[in-house]
Amino acid sequence: MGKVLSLRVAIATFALCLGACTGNAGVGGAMAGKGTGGTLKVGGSTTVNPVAVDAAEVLRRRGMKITVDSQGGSAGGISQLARGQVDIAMSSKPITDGDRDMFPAVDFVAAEIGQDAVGIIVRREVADAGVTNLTRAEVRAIFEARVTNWKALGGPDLKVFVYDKEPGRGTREQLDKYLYGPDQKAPPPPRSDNFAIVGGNEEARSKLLSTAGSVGPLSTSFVGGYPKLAPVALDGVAPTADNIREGRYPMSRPLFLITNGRPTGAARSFIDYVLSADGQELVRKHGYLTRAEVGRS
Amino acid sequence: MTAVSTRDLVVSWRDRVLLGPVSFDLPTGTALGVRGPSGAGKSTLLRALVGLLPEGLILSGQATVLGVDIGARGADLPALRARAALVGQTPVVFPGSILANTTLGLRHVVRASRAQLRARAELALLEAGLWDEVSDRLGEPAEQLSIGQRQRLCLARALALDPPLLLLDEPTSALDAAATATVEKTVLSLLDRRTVLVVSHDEAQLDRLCHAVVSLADRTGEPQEGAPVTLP
Amino acid sequence: MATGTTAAASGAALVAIVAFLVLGAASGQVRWGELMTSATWDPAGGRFGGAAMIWGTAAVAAVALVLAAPLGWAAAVSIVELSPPRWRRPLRAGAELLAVVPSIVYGLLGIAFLRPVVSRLAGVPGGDSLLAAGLVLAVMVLPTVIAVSADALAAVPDRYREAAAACGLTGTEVVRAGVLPHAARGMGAAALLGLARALGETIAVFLVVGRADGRLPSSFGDVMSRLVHPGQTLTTKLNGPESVQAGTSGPHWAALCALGLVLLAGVAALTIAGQRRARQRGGGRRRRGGDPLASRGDRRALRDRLWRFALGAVVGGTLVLVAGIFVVLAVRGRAALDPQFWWREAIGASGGGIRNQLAGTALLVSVAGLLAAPVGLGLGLVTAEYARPAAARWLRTLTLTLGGVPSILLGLWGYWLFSTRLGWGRSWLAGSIVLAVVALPPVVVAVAAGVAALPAERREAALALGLRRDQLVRSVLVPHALPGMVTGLLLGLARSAGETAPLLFTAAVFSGAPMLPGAVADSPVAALPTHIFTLAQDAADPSALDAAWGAAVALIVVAGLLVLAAVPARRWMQAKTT
Repeated sequence: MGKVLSLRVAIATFALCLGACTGNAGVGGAMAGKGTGGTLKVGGSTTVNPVAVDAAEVLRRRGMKITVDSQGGSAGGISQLARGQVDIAMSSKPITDGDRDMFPAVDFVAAEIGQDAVGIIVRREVADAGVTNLTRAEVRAIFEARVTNWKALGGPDLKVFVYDKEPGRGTREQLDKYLYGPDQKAPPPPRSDNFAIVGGNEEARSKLLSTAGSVGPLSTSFVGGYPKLAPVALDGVAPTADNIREGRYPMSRPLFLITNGRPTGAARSFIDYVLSADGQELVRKHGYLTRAEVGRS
Repeated sequence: MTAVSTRDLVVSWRDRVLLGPVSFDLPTGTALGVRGPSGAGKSTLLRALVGLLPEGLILSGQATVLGVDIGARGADLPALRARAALVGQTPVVFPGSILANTTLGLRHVVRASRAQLRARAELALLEAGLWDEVSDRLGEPAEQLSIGQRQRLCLARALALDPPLLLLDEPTSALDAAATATVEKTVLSLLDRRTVLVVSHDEAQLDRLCHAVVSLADRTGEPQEGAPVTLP
Repeated sequence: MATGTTAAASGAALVAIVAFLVLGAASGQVRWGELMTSATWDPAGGRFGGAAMIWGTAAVAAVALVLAAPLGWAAAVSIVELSPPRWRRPLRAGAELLAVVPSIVYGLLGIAFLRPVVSRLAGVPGGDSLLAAGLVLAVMVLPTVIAVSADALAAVPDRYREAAAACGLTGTEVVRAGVLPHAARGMGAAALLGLARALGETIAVFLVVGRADGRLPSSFGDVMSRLVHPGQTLTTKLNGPESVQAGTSGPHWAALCALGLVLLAGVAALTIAGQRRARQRGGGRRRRGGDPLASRGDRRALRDRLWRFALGAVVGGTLVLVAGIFVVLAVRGRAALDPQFWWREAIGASGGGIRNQLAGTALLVSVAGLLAAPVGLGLGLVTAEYARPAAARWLRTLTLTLGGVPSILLGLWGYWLFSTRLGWGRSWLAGSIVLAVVALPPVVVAVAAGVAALPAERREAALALGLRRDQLVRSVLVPHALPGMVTGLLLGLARSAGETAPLLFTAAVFSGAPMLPGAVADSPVAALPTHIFTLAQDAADPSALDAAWGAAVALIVVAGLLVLAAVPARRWMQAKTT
């Protein structure tokens, strides 16, 4: 009898568990993530991800429990922060009014940890053939699929293949802002054959590396050490440290760690570490400009 | 002329003898009955003669059917089976019309127009004694037929090939008394034109149908030497 | 009483998934007309047209089916009908090895081999395309078509073969005239079930399809050109970041849920139709045989040999493909030969070992097994023993449909329910529950089949001793069904071990998950499939790629061990219970 009884109990438990899905709305919210056995959850931008992973590595050795994840990019991180699924959102875009409208109950507090430049990355053979500088109009023509061969831009006779980032990625928003201005909405993707979508920065890089004639927006820090790829100058301004620092390069952007309310406890320790001299060294190591370099502290 | 000739034909599975040794000759134009209790290897004998033994059964000795040595490598068994047609004990009907069932073998074996096939099928149905019952519904599914009709349909399917030799395996064991009588009548009407080998456990039936009858020994239980069977 | 509870719980898993999609779709106005016909998907602009995704799904599934159905049928015929009996089992097992390879590994193979091929053949850069996705799917669907077709052929009684052969037909003629008419329904079902699998596949498609929303072909001639260019399917859309960004209410989320409903409806319809067909016996209408034109006689023997050769060549090709995949895995996955690889922690995105991922997968799978076993046993008993015939039919259909639910939908359900509503965030327990749902259908089917196979005399003998029904169940039915349940469970777990999409949303994180979780609910883990997914997207970095292939080998070892364990486990259970 005992076997059967325990079986029934198990089934009933499962039924209850399933029943919960219809009855139990509105738990969660901002309270999750605290009291979770002390694990600090960080999620969001793949651009900030390498810094956060390294910082977490160091802090874990000091006894903290930290997980880092980059599913969904910056917007995914912000959305998960607002729903209490993570404690810190990594973001390569600032919080917008749209975000505040969508989550009115959330008090977004953003800490800038450094700066990054989104490069328009082309293949070395395209750059070597003469495409080293593009105007805003030319970049727009490329991403709207109005230019389909590099010849039109003074490059080799090679088809252009665009790898745009998926919507919600900080990189994509930075590019849209550059091309269409801060208030204008970007048009839907072009009706082009040679256009594909990528997610994280690693994926963007590997696709660019494996496709001749490709071009895509990508944090310049992800291109260092890959001789097959080259960032172009935009309107004559190359993404050098100087140009980023001085604000001349049009697609530089701050990188953030965002919390709901002023950070406390483990979240505070994590952000403090990234802002410390050691943490800023990690920012530099991954190819970004530190706060000091852009004159923030 | 002998249609079938066997010499010390033995079928075995692993170390167990299922049939034989059997030796007999079946002269062309005669009807031979084979009797024996269940398990004596009656069905096995018929299957052995056209190379339809289940996988793993071993055949030894000599058997010649319509001039074909069935033990020989490279014997064209499909061609043999089209001339030595076997009808099994339970009627096997394929999905499809009565006509399609009747021509199932024929249309692969001969080159003929649809009309020619139909003509042959009608003749076969006539010969099998089924024509009167189905002539108005040849295009309808064969699954509608009663079991007795089905058995005659199987007979017609074999007869459509116009085989010189017919092998009948318990042709009435699945049938009731009335259907049995009809099928027996059909078989009797065939005898003047075909060479027939019938196996049955029903001795009275064999006496009614056949010119001569041989017996196979009981092989259930322990393996034993079978009494050699030789046709007079 | 308890029966009622169990019965109530029975369809619950499926009902919960449908309910979640319906609730989600109801949380914002879904304009169904626009969703089904417009090809403009622009969340920022509030426009949600899913036609491009529906077209993409149809296109990849069609490519997969056009290749896999004839090849699978041919292979099944050759194996079941034309091979020597002692080769049949090994040949079949060899072909079905394709089903042991998890979809994430197919994605990896697609990135490494199919993208370049499509790129070169079609002259398009990159090679991410609907065609590449369709080709990957064709290989993944092939074992389903072979297995179901082979079952259909094997179910045709031998008397039909004998009767056809007795008419003088050659081997292949016997198959065509005597066997295929009976197996046709079942083989049609094989294609339908394969199609359902193709529609629901997520992760392998995601890695090679390109994910640009794409556009509809403008003309018939445009179809080929669209096929060799990037596209998006329903599953890849749902697996993308939008599901996480959309929040869990509002128009964007509603539109995504509506896409999920479209996907679920298609897959469920195909699964139910396929299972119905597979169960119905024979009865397929004969195609007209046509006039015999060729001269018969000697040519028949020749033609028989040619057919045998052609069909055999398909089997040979399939086995070469299987061998090729495993050779590639062995060569590229050399990292897995190093014991260190299994015991070291991963380093970021680029390598190191897989210790935590292995432990995480082991935890997820074993807890999923602990959940699926009792629930599956209960459902199986209800289906086969307690339910009235009509209810039992429904339960069976529900179970089979649940088995066909695309795992991405299970993932989103888990994300919505556990991660968001219950506030668990990424949670190993949520992952285990979702994987348990993946593993559940084979358990239910195995238990129900085991009970159904109980000899009537034995039940009668037990009842004659005065046993009440509960006692009958406990001391006769359960012991009888247990060995089958263990087999079903192990096979179900082998499948769930390779699931990627659900874990991405519910359980796994990129970095920092400890080897074992620190809390019951809201503690994430690392897992092998998601690890490979992350590394595969970083496919240009050689060390990351080495680690990905190594992890793929490890994953196949895990899944393979579960499958291999099924046979001895069944024997052992049988020896123990009888």
